[in-house]
Amino acid sequence: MSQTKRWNKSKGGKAPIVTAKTVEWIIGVASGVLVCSGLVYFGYKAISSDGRPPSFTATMESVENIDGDFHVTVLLRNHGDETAADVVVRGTLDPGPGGVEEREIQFTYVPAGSSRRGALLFSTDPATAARFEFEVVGYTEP
Amino acid sequence: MSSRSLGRKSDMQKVMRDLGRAAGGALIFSLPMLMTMEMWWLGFYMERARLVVLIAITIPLLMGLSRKIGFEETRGWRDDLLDSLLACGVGAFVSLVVLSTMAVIGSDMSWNEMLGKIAIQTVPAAIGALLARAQFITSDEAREAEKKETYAGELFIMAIGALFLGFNVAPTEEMILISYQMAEWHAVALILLSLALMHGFVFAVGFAGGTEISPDTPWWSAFIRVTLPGYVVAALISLAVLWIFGRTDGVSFNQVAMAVVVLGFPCSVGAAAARLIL
Repeated sequence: MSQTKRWNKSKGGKAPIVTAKTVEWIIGVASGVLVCSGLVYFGYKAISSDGRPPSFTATMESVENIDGDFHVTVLLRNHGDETAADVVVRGTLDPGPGGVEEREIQFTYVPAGSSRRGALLFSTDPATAARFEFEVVGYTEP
Repeated sequence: MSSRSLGRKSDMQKVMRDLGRAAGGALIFSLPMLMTMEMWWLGFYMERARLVVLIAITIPLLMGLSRKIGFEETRGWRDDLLDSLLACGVGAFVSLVVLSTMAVIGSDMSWNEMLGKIAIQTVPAAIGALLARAQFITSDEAREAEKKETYAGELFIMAIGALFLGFNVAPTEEMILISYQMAEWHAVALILLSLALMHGFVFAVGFAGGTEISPDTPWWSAFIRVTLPGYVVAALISLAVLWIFGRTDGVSFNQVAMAVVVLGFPCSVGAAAARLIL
């Protein structure tokens, strides 16, 4: 009995299942539309992009006092059309009297149009400082 | 009584042999990932919710795979579930042994870190364990019978292949770096290259198996019905893997699309090759 079953099956295998099943065609055409829109998207981007170099804005997101250190979270955004690597951000905190605190962090990658987070650790609360600022020191091309 | 104990002994031998094969398969499939440092890092920094999602989708995926490659048609879902869990167990065990031997996990680490490192490796290892058992056990006859494949089955097999090869390369930093280096024209070219390669595989398999595509089928028919959906499946798997590994966080749409195309390349090759291999 199993013999017949198997025979039927192999026969079924040879029979042209190719007879365009509607479902296959619907999925196929839908996939084609998706793939084409992907190609069109990249093609459009390739034509429209003017290849601006990376440009950054660094903003302070939050300050948290953890065990006496002030963790200042930096949100670094790259507005350019190109990805930057090894982006160094320096935070300068002038508490008024006393020494100026300088801290640096390095972001491995900041992709075009994307943002990355990091934290600088200060011993003074930026909220009470006379002067507090971020600057982007430099970057490399990936 | 003696025949009974003899039966038990051979049963035991069979179980041990099965487990040995599963462990071998797990090792072959997961060694490249066990020795990749980004995979270790993912083990501790990956968002736990995504790790749970990964494991939650792995079990039904393994069950589906077990059903596809299982040689008995009469098998119920319980057998598939048992096979899947067994594969996970073997995968986790192999990962534990290899990672602790290489001092990637040790007693000075937190449970969270160690479990994370093992859990993430368990997925490819379990796929390997399941495949190895099936490959060794399945007779030629059964393999012949399984040649007949439904359309959904084909797409599922492609998804498994895409997941497997995608998992191999997705954790590495190169995957992201490549997408940063590429311009949009490169992405267009890579999509076309992926499609061309996939279609080559589709044709090779189509003719060899003689299941879906006969030599009379015009190339565009197979292209639309198999290659294009296959590529979309590969791209979706690529996106899912990137999300699970946290590669899409805080990244612009354009960069995510680029990364999907980059990872989509190995995924599509994996997807197409899986039809040939499985």
